[in-house]
Amino acid sequence: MKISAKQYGRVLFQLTRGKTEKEVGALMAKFAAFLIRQRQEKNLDKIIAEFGNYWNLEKGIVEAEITTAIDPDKETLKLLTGHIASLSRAKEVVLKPKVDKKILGGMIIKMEDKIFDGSLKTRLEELREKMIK
Amino acid sequence: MSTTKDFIIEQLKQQIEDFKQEAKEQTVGQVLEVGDGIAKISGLSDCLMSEMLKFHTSEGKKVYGVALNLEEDKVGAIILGDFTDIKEGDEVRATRRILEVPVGEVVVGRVINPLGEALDGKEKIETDTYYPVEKIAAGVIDRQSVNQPVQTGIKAIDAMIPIGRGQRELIIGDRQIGKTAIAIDTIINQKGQNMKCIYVAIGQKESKIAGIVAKLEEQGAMDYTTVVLAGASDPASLAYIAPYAGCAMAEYFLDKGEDVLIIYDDLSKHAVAYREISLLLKRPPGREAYPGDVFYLHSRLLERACKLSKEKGGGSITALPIIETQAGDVSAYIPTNVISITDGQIYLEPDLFYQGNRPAVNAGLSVSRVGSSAQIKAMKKVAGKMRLEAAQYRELAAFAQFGSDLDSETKAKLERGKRLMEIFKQDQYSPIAVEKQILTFFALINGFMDDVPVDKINDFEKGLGEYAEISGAKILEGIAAKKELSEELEDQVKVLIADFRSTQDYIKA
Repeated sequence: MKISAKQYGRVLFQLTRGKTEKEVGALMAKFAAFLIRQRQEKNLDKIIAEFGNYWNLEKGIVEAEITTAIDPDKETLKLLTGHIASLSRAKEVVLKPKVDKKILGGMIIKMEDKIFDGSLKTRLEELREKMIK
Repeated sequence: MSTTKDFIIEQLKQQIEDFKQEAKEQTVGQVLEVGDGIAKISGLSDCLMSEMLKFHTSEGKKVYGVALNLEEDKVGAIILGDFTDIKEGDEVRATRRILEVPVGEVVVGRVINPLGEALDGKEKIETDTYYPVEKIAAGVIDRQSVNQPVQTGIKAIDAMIPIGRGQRELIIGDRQIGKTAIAIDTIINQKGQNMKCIYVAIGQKESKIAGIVAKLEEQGAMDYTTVVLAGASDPASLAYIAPYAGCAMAEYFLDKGEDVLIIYDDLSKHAVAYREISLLLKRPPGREAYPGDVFYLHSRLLERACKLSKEKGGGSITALPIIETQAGDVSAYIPTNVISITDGQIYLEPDLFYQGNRPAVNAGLSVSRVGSSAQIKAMKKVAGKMRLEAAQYRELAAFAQFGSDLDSETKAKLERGKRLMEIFKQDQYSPIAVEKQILTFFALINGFMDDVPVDKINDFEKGLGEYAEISGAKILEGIAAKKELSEELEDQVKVLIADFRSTQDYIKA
């Protein structure tokens, strides 16, 4: 049976849960050897991503991707962190700011499989569709 | 001039003011894999069953899909439209809307695809009314029994296998045997009968549909007909939703209290399209590789045909599903399923077809479970035992080939049967009004045709019809209006037929 990246990710997460850094170091060598034996090294990115999901779920961490047209200042980011924390009831919020001139203005917040699209580009598109009607 | 300018500016300002600036929460996913008209999507954790999904392709195009498989960590969806533009990693947004189609008077007289887009090159279909494609059928309390006939205009069917408004009657037979012809004749005959017609073509050749539409237009039948087309070159997803979309359009008229006739041509191809989708979505195959829920696929569709109670408006949907059999095998999986769902079937037989009995309706195997309650009284009177007689004739004829000595009673039966078979022959695109049918059958059962040579029966019938139109128009009107044959009318009919007989020189005086 084929073992999916998700299953490898879960194994990695369960192996390392509650272990000290020293123990993890030894484990990682074995796990890496195991992955290579299973010829899974090309799937490493996927396994890491799946592991990250489990980790975040356990620790209550929410990763949010923020897309803005210009670089956001620190004050805005701080406000956003609080806002996203209250929205998702997360213990910790990790922001990943991204700058994309194409959205013109406003902001797109993306976390897990939710998206809050408040970009000027989308709003203008919506307005255009409404006016055509 | 200035007022219009002000008005335009005012409207624009209003629109922009009204335009709320808020970011709505949306659920998104990513395409994991795509191909053969289906896509696997990650994310979309709170996706609904049969929810519409919007694919944002990298080229900026928007393609719609429908969620069919909700799994633990991914969603399987069918793509409605061109799936070649969708690539792995594309964003998919949930729309929070179950798949719906535009309905209303605007679709009447049009050729559209299952999504309600025009295919006939005329103007765009614009309406505010949308109906969900999947809907639970009316319940027991909302229905009443079938009591009004659908006149197909085909003698063999109206006499032997009457169809009522709200009934589901299957048309079944091999390829090229006249299944579609029966359906099209029925549509043509609905002119002036207060009936909307919807013809759903599933996986049909577009050339065939073009021919049908041209014929319907020529006969003036497109005024009350909608053609929903999922052609042979369209993806399986469109063929799969086509009958449901057609039914949603019919339900709009049903809710208005109108009568609708809907034809699904054909459900074998629908099952094949669904099998394709199911196998691609990795649902386990069962008998003939169809998935486990093919029965439900058709039963939930055909159950939506109904006759609503007076409190609900009294509208009806009559369904004529078509099934194509392979070499006359009615015991294959899909034919047996649909036979058991419907309220009867019209079985078309190759032997009869090649003998020249067209429409090739097999009287013995065809039934209508609603029966004579869907016939007008006059028709009931003349056609009462006709199905039995027709079925007996075929057996008797086969039996009579062995022996030459027959008693006079059997001989008489055979002679009557021959004439009956001759009457049941009918050309395509020439449906006959019910009062004329009654006149013909009346002449037959009362012995007015016994001395007409078999090869002249056709002429006799045609002549009688024309003669009645000229000299007996009142009698025909009387039958059509009263819907029954009173003794007085019967006497008038007898005189009319006798008069006509005296003008024909092939009848010996």
